[in-house]
Amino acid sequence: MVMGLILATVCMAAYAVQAGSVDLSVGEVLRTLFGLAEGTGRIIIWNVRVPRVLTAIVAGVGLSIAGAVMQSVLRNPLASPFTLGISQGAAFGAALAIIGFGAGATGSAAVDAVQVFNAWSVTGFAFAGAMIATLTIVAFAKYRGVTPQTMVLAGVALGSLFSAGTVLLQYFAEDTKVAAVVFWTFGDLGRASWRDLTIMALVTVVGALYFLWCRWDYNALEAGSESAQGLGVKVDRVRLVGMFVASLVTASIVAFLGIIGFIGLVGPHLVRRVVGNDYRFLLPASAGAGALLLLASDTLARTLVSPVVLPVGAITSFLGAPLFLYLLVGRRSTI
Amino acid sequence: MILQVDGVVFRYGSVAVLDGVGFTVAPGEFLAVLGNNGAGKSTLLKCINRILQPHDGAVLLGEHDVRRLKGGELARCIGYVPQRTESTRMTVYDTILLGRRPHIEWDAGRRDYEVTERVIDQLGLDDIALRYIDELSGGELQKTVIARALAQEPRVLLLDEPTSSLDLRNQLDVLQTVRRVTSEGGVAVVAVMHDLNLALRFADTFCFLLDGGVHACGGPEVVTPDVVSSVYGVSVSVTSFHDVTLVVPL
Repeated sequence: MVMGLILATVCMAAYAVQAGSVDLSVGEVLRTLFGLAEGTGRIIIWNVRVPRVLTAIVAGVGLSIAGAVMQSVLRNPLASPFTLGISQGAAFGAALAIIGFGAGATGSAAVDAVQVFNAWSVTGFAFAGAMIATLTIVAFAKYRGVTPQTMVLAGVALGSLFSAGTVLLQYFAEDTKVAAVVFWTFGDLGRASWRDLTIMALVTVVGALYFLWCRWDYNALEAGSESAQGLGVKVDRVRLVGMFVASLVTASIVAFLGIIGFIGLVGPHLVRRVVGNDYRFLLPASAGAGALLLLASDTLARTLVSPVVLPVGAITSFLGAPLFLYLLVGRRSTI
Repeated sequence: MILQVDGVVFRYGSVAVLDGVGFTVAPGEFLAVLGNNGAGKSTLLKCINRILQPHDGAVLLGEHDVRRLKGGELARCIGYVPQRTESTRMTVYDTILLGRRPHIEWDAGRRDYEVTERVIDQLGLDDIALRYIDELSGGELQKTVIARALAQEPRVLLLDEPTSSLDLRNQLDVLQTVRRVTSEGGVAVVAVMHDLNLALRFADTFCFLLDGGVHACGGPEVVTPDVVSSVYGVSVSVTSFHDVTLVVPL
């Protein structure tokens, strides 16, 4: 199952590098990847397509495993960066940078004309927004008792608070800046440079290793917190640290790419129905499913009405939702 | 390793639920904790297992004070089966293997698989080992959860109402199995029970909790009409039928 997902992801990645608005032959792609080619093909592949494909894989893996862990520590199948206000926090941060500090604007109605003058400040603010949401939830849980309910409800409350803040900012802003904010929230894998990609990959790898280290604890949590305590799991600590690391992974991806919804929710659930809830298998499988889903969505987004690139977040939902509903109906067992 | 509970006090807010509870349980011994709803039976188990921190008193495992043990060490000594278990989409085998978690550093080793298979064999779960636990019957699930606690290779097994949701046959089956496995392995059992007759059938010693203290504690001889009526507020007769001691409400 996991091997299959990895194989499928590799095939998809190979196709994604080859497909695009500029036609490149398979031979040209292969020659370039092995460093034998020169010219525009080389530039397109190394500067545009390969980073984009790798970004899709890293972001898919990161968002999906973060979602799986959130669902575990919060004991809630609906838990995802959206439920917890992390995405909304990032959007508010970006809006504040663009509108409040003039970090970007659109020149015209065309999406491509959006200019983010200062990418680093938008990324930084978005990251700060997401982490403020996370830290508030963690602090709240520490103070009020670490129950899944407290964390989910606090997350929902924070989410609407940040959304309201974004709406207010947009209401008083110029049209061009509003457009820039809206464009930012669409989520775009093409925003990441090699340097951004390295940062995201590092955070994701460290997060994934931590999650794997805790896989037995997440399994124990599945049996209820009292059973987990009986098995020697420090339940509160596993919950808080798991939440924090999952949010950190999400925040670092969202800050660079904008909001890419649905992967964190659906990636784990797609494979849960097949491999069950054993985190020893669920974590790698979620990673594979997330990478494959995001890569497929992005490739579709780029090639569907080429040369226009559709917002990948929308395509993820278009691909993922029917698949998810099909699995929901097709198998009778509960989530 | 002898389990010694010494003067344990636990308060919810200002209400003392346990106010100086003490007893000892020897290896291989089965102690039934009895008493009304709200008498603090479950609280007592959680205090033994350090899920709740007693406000006073101590729990000793042989020489060791439970408070000084690390989480992993404690879980290697004490297995705990709570009143409610949530089932999930995991196989019986993997659920029982999870009982090895306190012994596992990074991944399960050969010995972990051996213990898991031995426990599966002891409890007769071979036929359902590869089924998902969210598809099991109540009795099968309860046995699986007890098996998980036994896979911890504990010296003490804490059971919170192990038969509360089971039919007659499974009640007998589960308790017989626990009795057999723990006597053989020299594991001390502390079980919260509601059914006096089941307790009389399977336990060696009986501990009646009343008003935060131990009202009576000892062998079957302490189960008298006086004790039962003062603990439960019901008048009973204790008789013998086919060599089985029975408590019959009047």
